[in-house]
Amino acid sequence: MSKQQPPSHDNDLDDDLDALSSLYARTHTESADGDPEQASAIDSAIDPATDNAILAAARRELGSAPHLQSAQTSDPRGPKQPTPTPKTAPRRRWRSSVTVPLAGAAVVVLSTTLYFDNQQQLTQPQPQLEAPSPALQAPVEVQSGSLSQPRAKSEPQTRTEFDAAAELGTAADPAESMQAPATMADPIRAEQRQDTSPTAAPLMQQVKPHAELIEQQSRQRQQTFKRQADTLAPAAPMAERKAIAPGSTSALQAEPELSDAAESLAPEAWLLRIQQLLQQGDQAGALAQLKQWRQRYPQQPLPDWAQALLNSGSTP
Amino acid sequence: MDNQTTDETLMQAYRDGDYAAFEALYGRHKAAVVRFYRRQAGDQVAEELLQEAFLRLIGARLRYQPQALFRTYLWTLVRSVLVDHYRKQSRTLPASYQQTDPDTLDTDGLVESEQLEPSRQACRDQQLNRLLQLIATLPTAQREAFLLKEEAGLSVSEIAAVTGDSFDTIKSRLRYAVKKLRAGLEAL
Repeated sequence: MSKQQPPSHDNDLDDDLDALSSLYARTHTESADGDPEQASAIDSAIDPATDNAILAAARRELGSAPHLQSAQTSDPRGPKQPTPTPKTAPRRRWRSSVTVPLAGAAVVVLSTTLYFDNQQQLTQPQPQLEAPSPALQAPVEVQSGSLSQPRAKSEPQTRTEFDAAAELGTAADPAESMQAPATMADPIRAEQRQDTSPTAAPLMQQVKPHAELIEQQSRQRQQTFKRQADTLAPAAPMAERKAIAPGSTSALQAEPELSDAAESLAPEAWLLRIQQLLQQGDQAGALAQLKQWRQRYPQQPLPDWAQALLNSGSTP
Repeated sequence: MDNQTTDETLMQAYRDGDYAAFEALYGRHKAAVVRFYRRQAGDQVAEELLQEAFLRLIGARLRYQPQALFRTYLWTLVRSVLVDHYRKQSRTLPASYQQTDPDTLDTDGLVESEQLEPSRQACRDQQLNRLLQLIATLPTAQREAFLLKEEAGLSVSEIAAVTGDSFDTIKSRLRYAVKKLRAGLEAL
């Protein structure tokens, strides 16, 4: 705020004020004895109690608004320490309280799904029995393997298992199910692959009764499967069975008489089927099958009898 | 605290929590304020009014905005405390506060020269004593304008802002106060 200048005709007032001001100022600094301190003490003296009361009030005012305090007004309680956020404890509680029930629930769902799946396969007619495809090969091994291994690593073998896998969100490519890994066909090796970690051991104990039940049902189904196969087609000599499936890991894979859809057989089984047709005197059928086999497996080595049959068929 | 620091800076610092800033402010202004109260209301209540004025300043610190001079802000508070004191004493303001005609100014609320402290009466410097006596005999409004000019160091316009009166009124009061003081000193 700027000091307003008085008009020129008020110069007399200013001069008088200046004179009075200088005189009045002396009243603050001079006493009758000429002692400035005494005069000042008289005019400006303030009881120390009044000073203390005012200054204390000023300090209290700052203390009542701690959010505005500066560093000069220290908090008697000391600097406020930030409250540590408990992060690890809830996580541990979550792990211990949620993970185990979830794992248990997953095991129950998986076991129930497999149980009903086996029940359905045992009670429903199975058209694949006459022509077992690679997808249906070794059902026992697949199921036992699926119990001893994580679900994501096991390939669903039937439509029902695909549905169950889809429900669990672990559906695999159906094309992958056409090649069942040989390792899964070995129950002993599959059992050796069981997780023996401390956390998995209780789960495996819970699963074991289900696995035994399913394995028993699978054995029954395999026996039924063999009985039906024996009635459908004459069995090949045992020597021939061993000869036609040298690299096969499954005995069921070498059952040519079980399949009418020869194209779905393994190359060796298909050749065995063609040889049986030839022995039965159906040379034309055997030749036709052999040509199809040749088209399907052009890289496979051709046995001598098959080569001879092919040559005889090509010559008029 | 640095003596060159302005009042406004100190008040802002105190508003923001700096207690030392208030100590500096109080040390700068307490003498003038207590003298103002001694002249206007007497020694008996001067310190009480001083305490009340600074307590109001403390309570109003969060509302302080450095848009005006702190001096104007402080003396407005000081005067309002005095006005409240007048109202408590007589239930009405001194008549001179409402009168603008200097010739009809009354002398209500005057601190009689006889009420001055004996130590002051004993001053050998008669001129100074006379001046103080003359100031005490001034009408309240004229004395207030004079004291605000001399004690607070306010300009005419600042006094007008503090008292809420017009610039011309303050100037007129000052003129008549000076006239009476000069006349009294010349008569000595």
